[in-house]
Amino acid sequence: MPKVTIDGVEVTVEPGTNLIEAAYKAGKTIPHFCYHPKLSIAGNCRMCMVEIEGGRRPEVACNTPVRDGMVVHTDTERVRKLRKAVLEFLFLNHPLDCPICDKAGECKLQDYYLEHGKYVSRLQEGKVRKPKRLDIGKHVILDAERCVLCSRCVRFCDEVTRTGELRIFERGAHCNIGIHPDARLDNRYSICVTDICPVGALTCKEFRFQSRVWYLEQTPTICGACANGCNIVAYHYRGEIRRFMPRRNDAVNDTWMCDDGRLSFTATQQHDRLLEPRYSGLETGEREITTVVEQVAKRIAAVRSRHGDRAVGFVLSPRASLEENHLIARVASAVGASLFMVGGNPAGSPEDDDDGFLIRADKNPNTRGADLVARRAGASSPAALVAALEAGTVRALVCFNNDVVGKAVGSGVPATRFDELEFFVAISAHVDATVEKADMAVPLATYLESDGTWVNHAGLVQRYRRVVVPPEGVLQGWELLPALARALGAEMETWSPARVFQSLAGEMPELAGLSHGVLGDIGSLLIAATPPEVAGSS
Amino acid sequence: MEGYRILKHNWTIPSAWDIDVYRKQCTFGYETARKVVTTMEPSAVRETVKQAGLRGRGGAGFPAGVKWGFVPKNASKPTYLINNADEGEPGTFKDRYIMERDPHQMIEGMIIAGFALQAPQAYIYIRGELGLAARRVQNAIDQAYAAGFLGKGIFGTGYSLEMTVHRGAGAYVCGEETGLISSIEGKKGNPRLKPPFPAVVGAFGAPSIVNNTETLTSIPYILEHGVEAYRTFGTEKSPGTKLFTVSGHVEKPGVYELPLGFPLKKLLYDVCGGIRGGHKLKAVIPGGSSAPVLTADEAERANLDYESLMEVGSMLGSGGVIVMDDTTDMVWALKNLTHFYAHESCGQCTPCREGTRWLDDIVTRFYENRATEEDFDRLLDICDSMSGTTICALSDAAVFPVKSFITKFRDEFEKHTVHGTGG
Repeated sequence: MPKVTIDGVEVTVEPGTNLIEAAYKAGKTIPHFCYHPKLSIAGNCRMCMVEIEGGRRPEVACNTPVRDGMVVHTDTERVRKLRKAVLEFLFLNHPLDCPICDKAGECKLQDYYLEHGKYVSRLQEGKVRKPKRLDIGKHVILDAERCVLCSRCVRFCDEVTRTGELRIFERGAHCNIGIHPDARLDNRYSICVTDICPVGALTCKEFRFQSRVWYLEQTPTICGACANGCNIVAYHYRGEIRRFMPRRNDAVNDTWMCDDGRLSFTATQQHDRLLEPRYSGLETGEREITTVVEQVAKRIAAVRSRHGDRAVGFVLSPRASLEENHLIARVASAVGASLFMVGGNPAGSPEDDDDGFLIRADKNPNTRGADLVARRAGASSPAALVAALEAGTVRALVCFNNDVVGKAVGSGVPATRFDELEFFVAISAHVDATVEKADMAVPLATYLESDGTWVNHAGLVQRYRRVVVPPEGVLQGWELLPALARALGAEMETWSPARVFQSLAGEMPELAGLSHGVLGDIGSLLIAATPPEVAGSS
Repeated sequence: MEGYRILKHNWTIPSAWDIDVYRKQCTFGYETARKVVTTMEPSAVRETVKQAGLRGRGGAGFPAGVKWGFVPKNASKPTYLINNADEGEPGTFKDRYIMERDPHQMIEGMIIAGFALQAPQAYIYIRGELGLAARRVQNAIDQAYAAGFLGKGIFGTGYSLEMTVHRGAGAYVCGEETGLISSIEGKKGNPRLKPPFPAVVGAFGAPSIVNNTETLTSIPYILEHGVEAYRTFGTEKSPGTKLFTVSGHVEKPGVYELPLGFPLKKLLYDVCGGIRGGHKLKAVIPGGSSAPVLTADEAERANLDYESLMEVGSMLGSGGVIVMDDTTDMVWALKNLTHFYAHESCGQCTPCREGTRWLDDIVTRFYENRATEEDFDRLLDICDSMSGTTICALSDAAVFPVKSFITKFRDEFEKHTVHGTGG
């Protein structure tokens, strides 16, 4: 493998690695606008020029693969001069409207000006005016004056989505990014162009003027909108999530994510939240969560005493974490109840099908994980639940983070099946068909308010992390389930998700050797991953 | 000047663009191509052109035979031959005359070059403005097809060559070989990053050889008369003859074929009849607008070959000789050029996109007597940041005139500052 010396640091890299990537390895960041590790090389911004010993003139690092023995200098007088010159050129026609620009604070022009620019303006002429506030798509606004014409967005639409909506029009200083006549930037990954835009030319409508980015806190986590499990960073401010941005994981989503997933946090956090317990057909009781859990336990105990342990059913959930499913199975087993694997999110519209890239038809983040627990615990099938409801052998049903009713209705099972239950309880973060039908509903933290692990469609075990704290009086699954177990008279300690995972990993060969620590930020494949099985489809 | 007529020989023959006239009355008459294709090995043709030392006539002066050798052996895709007839360099109008007056000799050269490269397809990329040239070339191609000199199994051999005219739309940058390739592919004519070079990855991802029209038109002579005959013209390092297009303030502007190494002074005063109306020579741009300007003294010392012009700090370029007499306002002349480059920059690379316009703005400020002393250093500093820092050479081409004009004719620019007498 070739060895290259960058500013005196020798590194060994894969053949074909370019100098920007090699420099990262040597602990050096070579400034650049147009280079992106997941797009083709354009080499047009000319910011990444470096000097190579024996070379005639500075070369762009992005288009220079390492050669063995190469000696590269990234900080010579000539290189510093050229960087400064490129910045001065870029600023000639830049509107310098940072105070009203959403990119301010995470803008490459700003960052590089402070690091490599710091010159006094020598421009005396007027600036070239270009179109501003162009509504080019459902989610994206273009300001052509801020643009540095790096062509990342054009290449993204050409190479990643292959939809080709964007192009650079005109020539010379009048060049501007634009959309083809009669076209709209409406592909399902369109907001990614705002991520890769190094400046404020492309901004996301949903994020425009919402936050100054330097106020935002960042938490690495996983998007829960479908079975793909795209790695993301959730940006939040005082307990409120402001945006999702994709986080690089070459095994899952490279550096991209779909628009639906990106904007899903609003629905997850705000729409139809169940924030208080609901008592349907019962006298108004205490709203204190421990009292609610006792109420649930009391009702279950009544059914147990009338019809026996097996008349109580617990349902695993493809939306819940491995840890939560494990706890559900443990509660069920501790009280001798029946266990079913059914439900999940209703399927999306036909257009929302698997697109062969990042969007999965399965809108549950943990179908494979729930299925693992179901098989381990010997959970019964959806058909068995329908039969048990018909036969009246199951008289009480506990649904955890699972729209069993909505899913069942979607697949043709009449909602009236659940009417026969003596006691139907939904533990849920949102008001859905199951909550509406249930006798009691207990609020639950969303995945953005909790910790846990999911197994994505490809068998990758990934950790999601608590981004914001749950609303007052709302418990996380790993707190709620042991509390319910104890209220039912079983012995169960409240363990952290990491501890729960540890006990799970001890039982399951598929998770052998894994832990939250091992999973880290990029996850691990299931050990001897079993092929995915369609679970929860009734 | 008859002995120099390798390229211009047929221009005086009426209707030489017609294949019958070309075959009966003109030199070569497709007999050279027939001889080459029916009796020679492609490698021998390549070697002959290499030995002849024929250098690219588009501006860079790179040896054509060496360029041909860059095509990878056993490439999985066919090789394309591309005739660069996008003649856009200001002051240059030679290829246009070749195409208008003698398209068959050019096509004959292309058949020989195509055979040497074993190319199944050749393109002729003709600048959009050259309407008559494009019609003459298309007509000549049609005639050559009808005569069996193009198409399947030419001259009854197993070698097939298709030839297609591709019209440009008048963008200067499409004369840059990779910009030209982008344009042929139907894309915006943006030059491409090198490496890979076109000889390895060119048009449609296939190895492609881009040669200038004049280069290709020189080839029949070399194959007909041999390396030694060709080398009797020109100098050791710059063999052969070249077309020079003289424009501006001479008595007889026009297209002249001269052996390389010909003294520039002799061209101006003997061949072109001297400076017009008894005026004095002020400056000469010897190789198209991208070549640094020469003062009268420098011009009178220089010879027209690649090395001599390099010695005096300029370039042979495309052979577009622009002559300026003492009535010329050098600030106006430079403004004309900076405007051209600002207009023609493709806009990909930051230094060129922004720099060409900035240069133009500042030179305009000189022209309008609004410049200051500081603007000299500012211009030179911008030029420095634009030199050798871009994908193609347009940026460098824009810089050469600015640097040479403001240093060699600084006194004229001084008069245009707010403190100068012109202000």
